[in-house]
Formats: sequence, structure tokens, C-alpha cells
Amino acid sequence: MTRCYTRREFLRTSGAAIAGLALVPNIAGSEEKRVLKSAKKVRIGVVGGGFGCAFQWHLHPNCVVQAVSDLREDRRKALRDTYKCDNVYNSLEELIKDKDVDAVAVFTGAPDHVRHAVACLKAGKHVISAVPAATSLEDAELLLETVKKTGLTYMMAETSYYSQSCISARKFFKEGKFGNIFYTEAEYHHAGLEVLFTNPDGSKTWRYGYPPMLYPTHCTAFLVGVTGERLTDVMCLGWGNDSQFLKDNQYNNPFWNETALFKTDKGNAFRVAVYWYGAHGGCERAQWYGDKMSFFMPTANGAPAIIRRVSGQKEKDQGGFERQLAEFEQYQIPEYWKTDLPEAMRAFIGHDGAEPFLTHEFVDALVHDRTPAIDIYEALAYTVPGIIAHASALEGGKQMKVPVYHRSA
Amino acid sequence: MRQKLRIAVVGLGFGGHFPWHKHPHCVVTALCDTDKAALDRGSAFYGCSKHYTSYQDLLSDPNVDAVALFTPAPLHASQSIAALRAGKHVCSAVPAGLNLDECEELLGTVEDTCLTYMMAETSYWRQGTISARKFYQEGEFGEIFYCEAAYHHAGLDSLFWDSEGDRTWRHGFPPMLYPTHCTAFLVGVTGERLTEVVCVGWGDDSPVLKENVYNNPFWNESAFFKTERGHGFRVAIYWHGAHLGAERAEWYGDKMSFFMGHPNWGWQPVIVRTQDQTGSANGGSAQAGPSFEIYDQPLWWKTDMLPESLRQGSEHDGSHAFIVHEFVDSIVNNRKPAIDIYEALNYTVPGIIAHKSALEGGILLEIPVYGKAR
Repeated sequence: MTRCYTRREFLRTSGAAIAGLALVPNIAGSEEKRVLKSAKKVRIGVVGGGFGCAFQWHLHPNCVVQAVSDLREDRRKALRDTYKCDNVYNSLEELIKDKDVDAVAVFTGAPDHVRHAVACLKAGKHVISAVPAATSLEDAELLLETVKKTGLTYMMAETSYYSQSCISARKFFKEGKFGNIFYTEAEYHHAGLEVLFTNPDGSKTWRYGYPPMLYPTHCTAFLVGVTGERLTDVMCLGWGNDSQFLKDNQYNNPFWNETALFKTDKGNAFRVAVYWYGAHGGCERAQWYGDKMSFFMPTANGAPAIIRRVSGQKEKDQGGFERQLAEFEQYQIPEYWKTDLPEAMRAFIGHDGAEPFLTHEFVDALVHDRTPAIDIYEALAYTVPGIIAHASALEGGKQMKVPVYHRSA
Repeated sequence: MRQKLRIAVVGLGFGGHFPWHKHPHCVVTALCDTDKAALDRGSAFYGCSKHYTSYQDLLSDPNVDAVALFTPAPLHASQSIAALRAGKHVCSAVPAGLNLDECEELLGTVEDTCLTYMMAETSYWRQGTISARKFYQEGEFGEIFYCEAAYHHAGLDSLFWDSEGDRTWRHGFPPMLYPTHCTAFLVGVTGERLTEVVCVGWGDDSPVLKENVYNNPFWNESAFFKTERGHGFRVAIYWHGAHLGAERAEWYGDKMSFFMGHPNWGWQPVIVRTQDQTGSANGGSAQAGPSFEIYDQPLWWKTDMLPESLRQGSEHDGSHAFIVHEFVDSIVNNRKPAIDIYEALNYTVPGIIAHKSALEGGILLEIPVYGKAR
């Protein structure tokens, strides 16, 4: 049985562990296998018994689930059963008073993320938060300030970043295989969520009428999380119909679907489509167009992962004009989850294998006192473009500047 | 039925393969090209021995009712205007023009002369586009809230210079000045106009982009248009990069979506439909999972959409025979062709403005609109 550390002991020990090591700069996209030799345990409190049950905190060699919490009894039970943890609280506010909790996994409703993350940080807890980081600019700034002030670790649990395809894309990018990625498109299509718009008691959940572009990170991660570039300008168009959901929601949101074109700080283009409604298969995917190589994730319509490479080969089009016959490869996406995780974590849950990577990244960042891949700056660089995109859509597609967040040098 | 339309084919490169001579109401009376070898090839195809090497001389031929203009893009507007002023109907290759001034002069000339002008946009008559138009007219899509179109044509570089090593009009040609293969997929299906655009261009250090007559620094341009109905339309025109050639579109509707075949996966067109919707407690509707179907693309060119003599496969996905028929039939029956001057400008001008947006770093620009939505 591993010894339990108090939070102070944990922080002290982890500080000592890295004292003699050069700090490895954490560029977005480092998936190097980390050999865990530390016996330190992060004692985590998990809040939110919906998606919060999809992580493997209890299986990580350097983590123990110290407490769980949800406002709903059924979800408290789900958390207790999943994580075999009997230290159950009725609210996040109660849980963060527990001195034996080092860090909190905030998997609550999207509009509560900032309030909850800030409360945790102020109580001295590290935070991993479900997406999005925030739903308004004011909240985003408040979160950033709180993270900076407390000096604690904040990470956003964006699954797309660790989807197996995205890990591949990041590797290709780092190896220079794409050449220049001049255009990327990403889509999060999720029609049929209406069943989650109401609670069992008939009251509205946070999802009722939720604006698509306030949930942008499944898409933005595919570019920001691969090349590291920032989104600087946006034009976004929304579409809605006469559904009741779009008439009486707390967000005054009239849109089911929003489509945006972003410009990046490198002058590239990025099309993002977040759709809750319409005739399309569910997907969280992207395609990257490079001048040397392009990479297409599998589509909802049945196409597998495909790579195209520039070639010297030519063909004739139907008009008789010559054109390049780009090389074709049906790409076998490696199962990184089978190799790049601590052995106990090697499970495929959902979201293209992302969950255990998020679990591991957060725990590992704490244990090694390093910045996690999706820290507050990355989190805001994924989240804020969507907030501005939604503002653009509300103004009929007006072009708007996006505030840019960078880790200060 | 009056006598046959007497057409002259101008430009026998791309213009050398349209079945004008097979249309029951059309006869090819003259050919015009500056290249003698092209004229000879044209004669063999069209069975017409009347040759002109001067466009001006051709326009003074009283036995020519109409010209089919398949000359380099920078000549289209001025040559169309000259033909109209000479009293000839015009079927012009795309695009209609390269700048707003010549486009509007062309429009004024068509209005003044009351002659028929048609733009020969192939995408309008692709078999998949004909299907999409039928689906749209039958209300199958519900509302198309987003559409995307791509014209990818890497590897054109060999056409940047002619056999003597001189630059052709294609050398450094800005992608968005060739927008109609894409814009036709939305404007030609729903009739809606494109009213605003943001466009982002990409280029590298190629000498072709450093010095060309267009001062164009871009290989590739990606644009996002807003339509007059508030819908989104992404257009991507790429001359360079790691992608297969394609002229295709996808239409996203709230009831049905239609994806033209994709070069990455066997070119099979796909239809996605929402399944029966069930009422929910809050008066809204809940969507069940969609259904997917590989669309068995009808070959419309085999049907009575065309006169029997034209029911043959033709280039650009069967579109050439339709272009011939639409132009001839509209003149013979004194009706507007599907792609008249207003449609032509609503396909062409959005690209001109998009290119301007790209040159200005991707700022949002308003697009002039021509005529009413159909």
C-alpha cells in the first residue's frame, strides 16, 4: 500500500524531485513516453458523475481518487462505483474543503466551469476542467488571472488533442511532413443531443439551447493543438429554425449550427463547423491540407483515414487538362493508447482513445511539476475563438478580432 | 422552327470538344484560332473548313449568328462585348470577366443589345449538380444551411508556358479569378446570391508568384461567403499542394445532405438523411440517427434532357453536351439560358471580390449582386 501524502508533502516532494533537472519546455504535442518511477500520488477529487466517470484516475499508478461529488444522487453513486471511492460529497463546495484533496477534476456543466475551477484554485487545488474552459471573455480572463495568481496547475481536458488521429497529425507536423499546412477544416457534428436538454424532473439542463460555438474546442484543438498557431480573426454564420429550444434558452441563442472561417497568426485559413442539428453523421474530425502532404481523418460517411502526398505523377482530367496525381495512402492510425501510457491505463474508452491520455497528462504534469500540454494559455487559445465566433454569428457574420493568449516567455 | 443557329467556334484548344455540330438546330459555320494546327484539328472534329485567324474578321461574317468563345480568360469580357456589338449571340467560357469594370461593361452591352449571352460553366451541368438541383427543387434538402465547394487542380504548371516558352495567361493566374467551377454549385442550385466574403490566400516563394501579370502572390485561396439568405458557403480553389484534382461540392441540409463523390474514396456520392423525428416534452423535436446511402448517380445525359443526337458522354462529367443544348435551345426558342449574364456575374464577381479580400489579408468585403434570386 502506497503511503498517502498530505498536499504539502506532495508539493514539497514533487518540488524536490525536479530541483536538479533542467525544466523541459513543454511544447504543444509532446507525447514522449514518460517512465514513471515516482511513488508520489496525486489525490484527486472528481466532480461530475456524467462524463466525469469516463476517466481512469483510480488506475493511474500516481493517482488516487480521494473524493467524489455530484449534486445528483444517481451520479454520486455512479462516481462511487466507478472509482471505488466512498468519500462522497454532495457538492463541489464541500469537496474542496477536504484537506486531503490535492487536485479536482471538474466535469460539471459547461457554464459552471469557471466558477468551479476558480473555487478549486482559491481553495489551493490544482484543476483539470472539462471543456470549454469558459463561456464568456470575462470568465476567461477571471480564470487566467486566478491561475496566474495561485500558481497552481490548470489543465483543460480536451479530448480531440489526444484523439489517436490528432496524435498522428502532431507527429507529422513536428517531423515537417505536411510542409506548410495552408488550410485546415474541423467539424464537431452532434445531432440528436435533445435527449440531454432536460433533467429527469423536466427542468432544463445547461445543454438546452447551448450555442454551438461556445463548444469549439473539439475542433480548435485540431489546429491549435497540432501546429500551435493562434486564431486571430473570425467570420461566423449561424443557422437556426423555429424550434422551441432556440426561443427560450438561457443563452438567447438562436442557432443550432454555426460555421466559422478563422484566420491564423501565420496567415492560414481554418474552417470550423459545430452542428447540433441536420442530416449528418456524428463526428469529431479534421483534415489538414499541406503543400507536401495532406491528412484526412476518417469521415462519418465511411471514408477511412487517408494521406495524400505531392508526387511527380500526372493524369488528365475530364476536360483533357493535365493535373497532378497525388500519392494515395490509406493510413492505419496507430493505437497509441496501447503503447504510450502507463500499463494500467491502456484502455480505449471513447473519443478516439483520448481519455486515458488526459488522465495521464494531468497526473504526470503534477508529479513532475511541469506544465501540462493544454495549460491555461492553450485552453484559452482553444476556447476564446469560439466565444468570438458566436459573437460574430449573432451580429450576422461580422468579422471580428480574436484575443490571443500565449504562455509568457 | 426557324433555320439552324449558325455558330462560330473561337479557340480550338478547349473549344475543340463541344458537340455543336451534333445538335439538330445548330451548324458550325466557321472556326477561329490564331494557331493553324488548332484550326486543322477543329476542322477534323467539326467538319467545318471555314477558317479565320482574325477574330475581327470573323465578327464581320454575316453568316455567323453566334460565337462560342473558348479563348484565354483575360480575353473573355472584351471579346464577348465585341461579338455582341457585332450582333452575335455569345456563349463564353468561364469566367465571364476578371474585374468589376469589364463585368459591368459586359452586363451593359448584353442589356443594350438584347442578344443572348451565356456562360459555359461546366459545374452547373455535372451529373451530381443536376441531381442536387432536382433535390433542391423537390424540397428534399429542407434548408441548405451550409455548402462547400472545391476546385483543386494542382499540376497545371506545364500550361504556364506555350511551346515557344512564352508565358500563357495561366502563369500566375489568381485562383479566385477562376471561381465559377465552385460558385455554380451553390448559386446554380439554390439561386441564392453571395453577398459577403472573407478570403485567405496562400503562396510560397515560387518565381511564378513573384512575377506575373496579375501581381498575384497566391497558389491557393480559401473563401467563406455569406449568402443573401444568411447561409455559409466555403469555396477552396487550389493550384498547388497535396491533393487530388476535384471539382465537387457538399450540401448540408436540415433534412438531407448530399456529398458529391470524393477523390479520396472512390468518388462515390453519398446521401445522408435525418430519420423520423419524434416529439419531445418541450415541444421541440429530437433527431434520431441519420441514414446513409451511396447514391446511384443517374446519367442525365442519357435522358430526354438532351436531344437524341447529343446523348453521348462528354467532358467535365457530361456537361459539354448540356452547354451546347442549353445555348442553342435558348436562342432557338427565344428564352433565357440557365446561365445568363446575371447568373454569370453572380458566379464570377464573388471570386473577384474574394481575391481582393485575400490581397488585403482576409478582410470582409461586400459583393455586388446582379439580378434577383431565381
